[in-house]
Amino acid sequence: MTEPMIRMLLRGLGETMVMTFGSGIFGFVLGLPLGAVLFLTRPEGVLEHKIVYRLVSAVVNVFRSIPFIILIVWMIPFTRIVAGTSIGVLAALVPLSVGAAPFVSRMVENSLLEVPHGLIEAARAMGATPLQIVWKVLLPEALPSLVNGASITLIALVGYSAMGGAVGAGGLGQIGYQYGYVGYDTVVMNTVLVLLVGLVFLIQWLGHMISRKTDHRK
Amino acid sequence: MIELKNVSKKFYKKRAVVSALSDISLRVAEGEIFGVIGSSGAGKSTLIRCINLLERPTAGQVIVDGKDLGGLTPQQLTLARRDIGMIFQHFNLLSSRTVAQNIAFPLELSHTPKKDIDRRVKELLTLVGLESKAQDHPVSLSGGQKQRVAIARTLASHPRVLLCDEATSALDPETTLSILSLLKDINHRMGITILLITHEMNVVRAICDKVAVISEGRLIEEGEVNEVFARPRTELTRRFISSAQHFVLASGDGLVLNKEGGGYD
Repeated sequence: MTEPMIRMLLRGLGETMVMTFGSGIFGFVLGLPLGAVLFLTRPEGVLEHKIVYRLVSAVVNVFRSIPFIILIVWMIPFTRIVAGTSIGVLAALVPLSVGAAPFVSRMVENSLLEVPHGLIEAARAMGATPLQIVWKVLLPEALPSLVNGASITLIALVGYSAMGGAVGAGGLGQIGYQYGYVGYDTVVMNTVLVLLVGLVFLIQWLGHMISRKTDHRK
Repeated sequence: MIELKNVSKKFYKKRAVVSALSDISLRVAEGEIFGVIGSSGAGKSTLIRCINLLERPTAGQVIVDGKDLGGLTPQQLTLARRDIGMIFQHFNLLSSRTVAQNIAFPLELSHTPKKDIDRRVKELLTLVGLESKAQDHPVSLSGGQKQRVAIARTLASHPRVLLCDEATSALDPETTLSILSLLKDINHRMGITILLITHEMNVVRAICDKVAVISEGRLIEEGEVNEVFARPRTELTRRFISSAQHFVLASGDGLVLNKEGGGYD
């Protein structure tokens, strides 16, 4: 492999990481509050509210059912408004974040459901406001599970970002597509695969470690 | 201090209406330890949860420390709850926080300055005898120690009333005694009014001044503990009394097991 080739692969790895972690962060910024709203307003929830729950739930389901490759194309006009362009890493962050947010919100809802109900009740009895229940009880108690969910999300995003590569998002996906599918260079294609596998392993390992560190239940 | 006026609670299931409490009225005077005893399913848990409105009564009034809780806005109710302590059968400690942080929790809720929190936490750790466990997580504590942390936590905000929801039901007899004597001590020293629910007559006998018997959502008997023990008026009360494995209050300040005649009595 030539030096320019190696440099290109490293840049691709960098771009993939920026897309994965960048959209992961934005996905959480959007998805975490949505997940908390789903949990709080669900039937029998702390702030039970049928209309809000059904509305948010429906929006989340709609976005989750759009295949990612179509979401990218469908969102191009919006992406142009937000990022100024529809090509490149920065532009890819827009559909990736929007794709991740509903996924994250369901995952957050599930993690919060695992928190023993007695803890919420005790917090209510001590005079905690709904916001304090979320900040001081639900999120800290669900942290190990949220971290696990975050690594699942990030791994899914590695795959999504590679898919984005097919339509000009850059990153390892684009290199793999151009050199592998279009040019059929097996060395480059396999190197891309090895790098992607390595990235997934790294995320999984980090997630596992952080989750264990934050878990005081056993 | 606590007054229930004609409180009823109905649960609306898919088709049926379940009446958990029917027309309950009771008064707990300031500084008193009041026990409500009943079998499982009698409605005692619903009753105690109606007092801080974790469960909203379908009808009737709940008055705590002169405030009609049913008439408060959600914000006012949140504040009123900070004056009503509660401990639970399964302790409900936050697993992500250390013992000291658990005790600090209610003080954080009311935005107490950090310095005052530290001082208060220290006081409470001493009160419940867990100074050495301050930095441990609840998972490493025994059941009795967990309940002590829960008691310290609920006392942190200086409540005037303490609700005990089967607080000793998950504990062994010896630990039960130590927790009961701690509750008695708190009641004595701080004048906190205690309302407890239990299915064990020995708990009532050990620390309560007054007792009410609940069955199928109704109070069927009520009076001074000595009086009720001496002259039970209903069959159910007689059964509770005879099934009781007595705890005997020692002449000193603690409670001891009376092991004469096998068992605990």
